Amino acid sequence: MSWRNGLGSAGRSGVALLVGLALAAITFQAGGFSAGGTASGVVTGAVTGSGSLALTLRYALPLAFIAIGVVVSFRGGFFNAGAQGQFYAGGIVSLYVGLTLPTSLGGPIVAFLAVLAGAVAGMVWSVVPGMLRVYFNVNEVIGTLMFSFIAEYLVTYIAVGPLKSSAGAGQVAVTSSVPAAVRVTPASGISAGVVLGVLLVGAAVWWLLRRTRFGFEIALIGRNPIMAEVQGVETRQIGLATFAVTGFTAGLGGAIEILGPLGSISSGYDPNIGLTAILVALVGVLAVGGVLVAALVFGGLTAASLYLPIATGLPSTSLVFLTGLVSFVVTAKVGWGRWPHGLLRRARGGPDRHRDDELPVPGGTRPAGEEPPPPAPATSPGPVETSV
Amino acid sequence: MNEVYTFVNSVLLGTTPILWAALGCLFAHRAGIYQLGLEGLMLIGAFASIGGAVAFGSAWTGILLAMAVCVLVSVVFWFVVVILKANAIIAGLGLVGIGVGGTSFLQGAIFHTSGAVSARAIVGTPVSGTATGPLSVLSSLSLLVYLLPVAAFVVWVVARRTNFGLRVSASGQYPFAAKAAGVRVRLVQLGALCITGAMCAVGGSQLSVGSLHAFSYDMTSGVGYVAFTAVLFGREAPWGVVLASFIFGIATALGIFSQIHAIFGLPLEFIQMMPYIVTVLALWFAGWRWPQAGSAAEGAFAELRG
Repeated sequence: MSWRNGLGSAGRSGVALLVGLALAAITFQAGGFSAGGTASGVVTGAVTGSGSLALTLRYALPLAFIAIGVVVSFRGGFFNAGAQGQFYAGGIVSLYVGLTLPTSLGGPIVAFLAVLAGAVAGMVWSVVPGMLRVYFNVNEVIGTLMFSFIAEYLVTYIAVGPLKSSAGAGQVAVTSSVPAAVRVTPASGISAGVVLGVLLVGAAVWWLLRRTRFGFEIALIGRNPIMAEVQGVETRQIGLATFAVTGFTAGLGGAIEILGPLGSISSGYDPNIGLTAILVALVGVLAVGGVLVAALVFGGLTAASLYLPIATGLPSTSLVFLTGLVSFVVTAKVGWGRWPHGLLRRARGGPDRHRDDELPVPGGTRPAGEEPPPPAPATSPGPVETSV
Repeated sequence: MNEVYTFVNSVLLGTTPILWAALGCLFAHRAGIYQLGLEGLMLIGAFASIGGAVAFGSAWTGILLAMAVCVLVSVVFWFVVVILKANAIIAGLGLVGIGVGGTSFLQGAIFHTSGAVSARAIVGTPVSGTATGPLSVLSSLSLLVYLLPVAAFVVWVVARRTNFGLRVSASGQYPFAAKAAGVRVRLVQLGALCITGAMCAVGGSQLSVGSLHAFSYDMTSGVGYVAFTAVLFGREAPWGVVLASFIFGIATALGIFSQIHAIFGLPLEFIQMMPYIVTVLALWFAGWRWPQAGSAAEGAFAELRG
């Protein structure tokens, strides 16, 4: 049962991805860029070109970190949309720690402390809007997004202000670079440690979601928060904890990006990673394994988006367009996503008993059979009758 | 005194795009649909109006084109969210991506530049920029600013005093009851989303042909999200939305003001964060004072119930 649902969701993600790619191809063709040339450019830029696979992996790593955390929030029904801000916070703080701690402590130790500090900073950047959400019912989408905008200005502040490099006289203000001993990866952005880190974080989150009481309670809240509350789940604490996990991994992503390939932050630095990470989580059907695959796909697209401007003149922001198109359709319920429910309903002759399947799952793409069955949601109409 | 006039001038300038979009979003919100894609719609509107102004030589034709395009996009959004039951929040964030990336792509494809696209045809400014005295409050403001009181009044009439407005609220608050009473909920939601699209187009046009006379990449920088918050903070009431938009407009104006006059010696970037910080504070206040307002979890799945 579980594998069939999982397969169905994965198939649906694939279809959404294809629909997005097709729409983008049509647009590019209409805009005067040959779709065939673009497609072959994507393949060259992401897979077959020299060094392309390495670039794909390099861009997939931070995406995977962030998206694994996003999965935790989304499974609990919390729309943490501020991954970009948490990524920035992680990057800024890890840079600060990496620059201020003396390297005489030993490079790896400083690097470890800096990465840890970055992750904690990301966590703080996520938990504050999370607290506003659980204690004051503040819309978490807007809250986390606003924190992203604030972080964007912090990036500019840090680049032109306290950490500004005195060496450069270029157009764009940039901070000093982290010494090579403190970097977690070489300029290629890939190191065994970081790859191992992604796998470790992935395994930890998988274990958390599937094998612990915490994960079970997250799933309960995601299905029906009121029901969970009635059954004695501390919904506020659990909610806050999901924000903390998301922020922690997004901060990790920012830290390894800054302490890895980049080494410094320039004013106006915008990796456009927030929406992509959300999409990676959704296309990866909110499961850790799926997320790792989806991160590679979008890492490849990111790598291609850097190659395409050179190969075909297509602006690299076209990736944002593609990401938007896929997000637009990824949660749509069409084809085998919808028909079984209708058939089942008719077969039972009852009212809409499967409505609960569609309720508080962000994206509604979670494979339904993968967590323990909720205790009788069908008998509880839930909180849903009061709308804003 | 002159500084006060300048400040009021920038408050009006900062409020206008927020208010146009927020007044439009009011309808989507009352119809029970989270339209988080305001930012994308505004960007598309800003780009289409510049494109129209360049192509037809008239800013008003450009604005009409922008409204048409945004209504079209809103119909697609309606189809995906209401008919295909996609999650409105994710689809809305996707719409922002489409707006940011799509306008950037078209800018390259049509105008062959990644910098700014400027138009000579602009919206009329009744009071010229050289005005002095109290009149300078209105200096260089486009007609779209003057149209705002009219728009706010019309929105109030439509939302609170017409059959359509009642149907919109019913579709949002009690979709099942509305359906039982014979309201075609999905069509009403389509209407509400189209109004949102058209008004976002005007808001975006104010940014491009109305004030900067140019389009540049991602030029809305969060105005759409702020407008969305204005609807939450204004508690979905037309005059509440007006008030909320002005509060955010004042925060924006403080940012502009402080670029000329240092405030408390704070770095510029911290002042520029002001609109976003004020937005968070406003949401916090709303959540604390009116506990039912502003939760994504409640409204987010309204579309699944309709």
